[in-house]
Amino acid sequence: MPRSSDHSRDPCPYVIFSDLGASFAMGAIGGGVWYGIKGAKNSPRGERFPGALVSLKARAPVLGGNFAVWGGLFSTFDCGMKGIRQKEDPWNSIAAGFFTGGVLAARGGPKVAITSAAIGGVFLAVIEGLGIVFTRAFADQNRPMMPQLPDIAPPASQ
Amino acid sequence: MASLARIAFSRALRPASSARLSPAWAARRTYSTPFNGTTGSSQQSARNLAAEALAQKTGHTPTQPTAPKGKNKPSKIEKTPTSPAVYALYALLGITTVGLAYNVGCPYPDEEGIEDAKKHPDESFFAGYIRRAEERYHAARDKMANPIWDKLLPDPLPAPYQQPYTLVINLDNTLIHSTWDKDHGWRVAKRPGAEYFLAYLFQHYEIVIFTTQTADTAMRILEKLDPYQYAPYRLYRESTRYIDGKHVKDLSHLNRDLSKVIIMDSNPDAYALQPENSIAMKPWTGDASDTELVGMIPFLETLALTEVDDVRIPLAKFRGKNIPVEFAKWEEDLKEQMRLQWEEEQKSKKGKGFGIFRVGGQQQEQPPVPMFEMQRQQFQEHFMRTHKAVEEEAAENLKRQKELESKLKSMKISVWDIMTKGGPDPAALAALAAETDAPAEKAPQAAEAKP
Repeated sequence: MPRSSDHSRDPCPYVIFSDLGASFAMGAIGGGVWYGIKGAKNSPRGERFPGALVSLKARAPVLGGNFAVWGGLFSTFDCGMKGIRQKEDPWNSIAAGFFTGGVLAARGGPKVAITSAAIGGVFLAVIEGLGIVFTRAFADQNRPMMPQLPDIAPPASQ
Repeated sequence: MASLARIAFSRALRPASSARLSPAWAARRTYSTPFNGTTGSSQQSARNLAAEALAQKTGHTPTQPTAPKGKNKPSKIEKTPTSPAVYALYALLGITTVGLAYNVGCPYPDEEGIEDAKKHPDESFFAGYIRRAEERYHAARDKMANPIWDKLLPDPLPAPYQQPYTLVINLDNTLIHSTWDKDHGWRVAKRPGAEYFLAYLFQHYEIVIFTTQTADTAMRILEKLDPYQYAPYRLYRESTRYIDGKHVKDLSHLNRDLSKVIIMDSNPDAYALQPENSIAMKPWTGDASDTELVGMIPFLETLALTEVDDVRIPLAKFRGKNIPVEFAKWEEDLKEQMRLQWEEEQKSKKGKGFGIFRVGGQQQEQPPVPMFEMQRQQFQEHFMRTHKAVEEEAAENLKRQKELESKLKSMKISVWDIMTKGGPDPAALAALAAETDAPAEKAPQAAEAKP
C-alpha cells in the first residue's frame, strides 16, 4: 500500500515530477500574462502585440523555470522528510520550505542562506495554516444531515 | 622639509628662460606630496600652498573642499522627500500591532470576564495578560485539533425509523483498499461482500462511515461504494480528533448512546479513546478471497436481535479472538446446551403419564433453536425477496435525481428571477420535476395497459 494517505496527489517519488511540471506551468502562465502585458505596454502603438509576444517568449519560460526549480526542490525535500520521519504532518512541508529557501540562496553565504530559509519556512507555514483553516471552513457543507423521513423506508426490523 | 617644498615650488615658478637652461631638470616637477614623508601640519601647509597656487592660476578661490571619495562618497541620486503616506502607513502598522498585542491578552469581555476575575482575584495585570494569552493560544490550537462540530451526527430519528444500535465503520483497508501505479494512478478495490454487508446490516444498524480521508476524495469513493445510502451518515477527516499527530475517532462526539455504538476499524489508532466499543479488524490489502467482513455479519446481527443492553460486554467477551470462528463456536455450544436441556425435558416428560399436564398438547419432534436464529432466518428470507426490488427502486430514484440535476444545470436562470424570486422560477422548477416524474408514471400505466 503506498504510504501516502493523500489520495489527491501521487505518492512520494512520483509527485516530484508532478510538482515540477505544475510549478513550471504556473510560472510560465503567470509569466506569460505578466510579461505579455508589460511588453505590450512598453511597445509603440501598432506594435503592441508583437512586442508582447517577444517579451513573453523571452521571459515567461525563464520564470517558469525558476518556479519549477523551487517547486521541484520543495517536493524533493518534502518527500525526503516524509521518508525520514515516517509521519504525515504539516511540519514536513515547513521543513521542506526551509531547506528549499536555504539551498537556493546558498551561494550568498550562510547569513543570506539562513534568512532565505527562514522566509521559505514562514511562507510554507502560512500556506499550511491557511490550508487547514480553509479545509475546516469549507467542511461545514459535509455535515451529516438527517435524511428526509418519507424518503427512507423503515427498516425491516420494525 | 618644508623648506625643500618651498624650494621645489619656487623652482617650478621660474620663468621659461631658466627652464630652457636645464630643460630635463625643469620638466621634472618634483613637488613634495604628503605621501612621501610629510606629516600633519606640514600636510596642511602643503595644502595651503597648493590652494594658493591654484587660486593664482584659476583666478578665484575655491570655497569648497573636494568631496569625500570611496565609502563616504555622496550619492548622485537625488533623495525624494518621504511622502506623508509612508508615515501614515507606519503609523497604521504601529497601531495594528499595539491593538493585536492588547487583544491577545485583554480581559475577557462580559460575563466571562467577571467569572475570570473571581477565579483569579489577586493577580497583577501583567500576570493575567500572560495567562490569558496562553489560554487563548491553547483554545485556538484545540479548536484546530478538535472535531469540527460538537455533535457529529444529527439527533436520532423518531421512533420507527431509528435503529437502536449504531455501527461505525472505517473505509481504508476495512471496506476498500487503494493502490497507486504509474499507468493507472489511484485505484480503489471493494472488499468482497462490502456492498452486501452494508445492505444487509442496514436492517439492524444505523451505519456510519467514519474515515480519516478528506471529504473530497472519500465522497467520490462512497458515491460508488454506497450509492443507495445504506450508510446515510458519512464523517471525514475534519470530524476526527488530532492527538499527537494521529487522527483519532472520538465516539463521544457522535451524539449517540455509547453503550449502543460499535466501531469496526483496522487501524488501532482510530479507537484509541474508546477501545471497549471496538472490533479490531485485520487490514485488508486487496486479497480477493477474503471473507472476514462477511463473516462478521452473524455476530453483529445476533447482537442486534438479542437486544443487548450494553454492546461493550459481548465485545469484551470476544476481544482478541477471531470473531467469525469464535462466534460460530459459541453458537454451537449454545445450541448443544439447548438440545441437551430439551432432551432431558423430553425424557422427563415421557416419564409423566398424565395427558392433561402435557403443555401445548404437542410433542416437539425437534430440539428448539435459539430465538435469534429463527429471526435471522426470517431476516435473510426477507432480504432475499425484497432486496432486489428495493435496489431497483433506489436506482430509479437516483437516476431521476441525476436527470433533474442535469436539467437544472441546463435550465436558463434569468437574473430577474434571482432578484425577485430568490432563485429559478418555481413554476419552471415544478414543470421540470413533473417532466422527470412523468415518464416513470407513464411506464407502469403502459405496463398495466398491456395485459
